[in-house]
Amino acid sequence: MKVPVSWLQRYVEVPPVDALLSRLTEIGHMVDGPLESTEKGPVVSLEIRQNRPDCLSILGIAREVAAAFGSTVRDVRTAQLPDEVRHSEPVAGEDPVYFLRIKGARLDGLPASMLGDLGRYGQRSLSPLVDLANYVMIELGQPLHVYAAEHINVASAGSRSARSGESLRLIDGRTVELSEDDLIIADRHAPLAVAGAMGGSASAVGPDQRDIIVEAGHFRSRLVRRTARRHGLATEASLRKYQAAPARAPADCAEPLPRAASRAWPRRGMRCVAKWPGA
Amino acid sequence: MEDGIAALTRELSALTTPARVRERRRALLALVRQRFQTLGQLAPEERRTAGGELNALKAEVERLATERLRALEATGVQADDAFEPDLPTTPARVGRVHPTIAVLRRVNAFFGSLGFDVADGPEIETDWYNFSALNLPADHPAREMHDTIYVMEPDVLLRTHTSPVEIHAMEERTLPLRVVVPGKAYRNEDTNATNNSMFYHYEGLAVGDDIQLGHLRWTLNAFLDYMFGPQTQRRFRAKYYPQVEPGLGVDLLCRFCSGAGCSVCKVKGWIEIVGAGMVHPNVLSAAGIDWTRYSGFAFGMGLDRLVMGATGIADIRELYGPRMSYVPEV
Ligand SMILES: [Zn+2]
Repeated sequence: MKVPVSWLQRYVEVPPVDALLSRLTEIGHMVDGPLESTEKGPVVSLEIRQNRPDCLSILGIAREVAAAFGSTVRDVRTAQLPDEVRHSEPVAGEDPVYFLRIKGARLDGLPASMLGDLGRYGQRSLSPLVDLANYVMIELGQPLHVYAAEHINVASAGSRSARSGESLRLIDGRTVELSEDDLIIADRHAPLAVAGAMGGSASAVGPDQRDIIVEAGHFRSRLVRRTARRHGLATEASLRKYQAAPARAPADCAEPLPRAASRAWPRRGMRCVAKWPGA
Repeated sequence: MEDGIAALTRELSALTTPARVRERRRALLALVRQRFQTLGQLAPEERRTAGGELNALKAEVERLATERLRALEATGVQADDAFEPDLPTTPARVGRVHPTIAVLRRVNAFFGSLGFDVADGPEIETDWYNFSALNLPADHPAREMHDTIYVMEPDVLLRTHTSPVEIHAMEERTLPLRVVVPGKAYRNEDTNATNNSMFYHYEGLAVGDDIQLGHLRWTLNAFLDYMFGPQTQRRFRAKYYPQVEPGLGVDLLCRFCSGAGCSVCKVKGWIEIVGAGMVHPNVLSAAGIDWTRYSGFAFGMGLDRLVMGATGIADIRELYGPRMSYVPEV
């Protein structure tokens, strides 16, 4: 995984890069690529082994650095969440999923500092909301998916096994034929996304989307792995999911996005509105 | 030149075996043919003269050769038993030990000197021996590291490492136990210069009373001294493998860049040689060993990488392809 030191520094005091790399290698995160230098500082490349999916994030690496060098991880909750934000109860079942509604998202691009971190990590910029979801995923390790609010019926939405005969057109343009072995996110109308891997094109957010639903799920890793493998969906999100990145507390799950959003667009009047099934 | 041919033609009558006569006739007729091809460059008058001479020469060669062959036949010289010690022979290729086997024997000799026995086992394995018994239950994310070739899904497969033989060894032998396991392993990988779907794996295992990480470290250090020389810099670092806890990666300083980073070491400065660690309690239990009483260490390496280092062969496909050029001519 690529770790821009500038991003890591948000969470932990970073020692000189030579000391950082030799110590991380010693404790099991081997340097596995060249050290890149950028004007915002170096970008290091680490091999994260399968027993440490919790390290597939900037925060995860920051914890390792803090533990290895005897420092502490900073609390970076810079923005207060608006009072209206409530996360939903998880949708029951073995693969719980959380939804959060955000109204009035303002869609300028992310600030240059956040876009710069994304670029140095190796994630290209797609659209403001997707960039924001990617930013949260890379920083905290929790994959999020963003839906256009008018194309998902949250009250009936949840995770379930697909039924044979169902199919889903994905955001990359491909249509996959689903089977009972596939875990999907769906509402009462139709499949919406392949859980933990890729969203469908019908509910994708467009450039002018202002009312969105954020989804965060805790899926059984073997289901995500099998589904992702069967349909060739090896994405950043599925990598984290099928390596069983640790479950986060519900409050940590979907809230980072509005929090990051208020960091990205501090003076915009964005309202986050809780919406949960049955409401 | 003409004199040379004439002399060679006259000598026909003095050759001592039918084979030599036939050989000389063949050479002379080839020369005559060559001459005929140059006639076109001559003026018509000269061409006629030269052509006549060549025809006469050809007739003379045939006549002398036939005469000599009859004479030799009459004196009873048989073509077959003509021993001709000065004729060149066709080059012979002599089979040798394959470079992989040569290195394998060297490594076996070292571990043999430490009391390790060589263990062998099947290349077609069950899921239990190849994965589950090695602390890799179904759906363990570390199975992603092994792209498996199945003989019969989901239970029968080509072994992806020689570690299953260690489980067999623990089941079949008595403690204390020291074995090395060289052998072929298979993975469903795209073939390129560094990966092949078939490769040689080399594993080692020691189980007994009070076996500690220090024993492993000493053993691997002694092995690296033996293979690469005591001056070769190496490092031991923590590395996860499901079969062991704690796990180690052992690297050698890249000899091409001395640690600065180059294409051979993929800019790491170090080249990984061995993966190792203390045998995981789950693995000991799976093999029926009481892990509260016994402990053990295990290590594994890709033998091909050692072979490529020792022979300078840079492409693993060359090692297992039909390349006669690696068989020396003698
Ligand atoms: Zn090198």
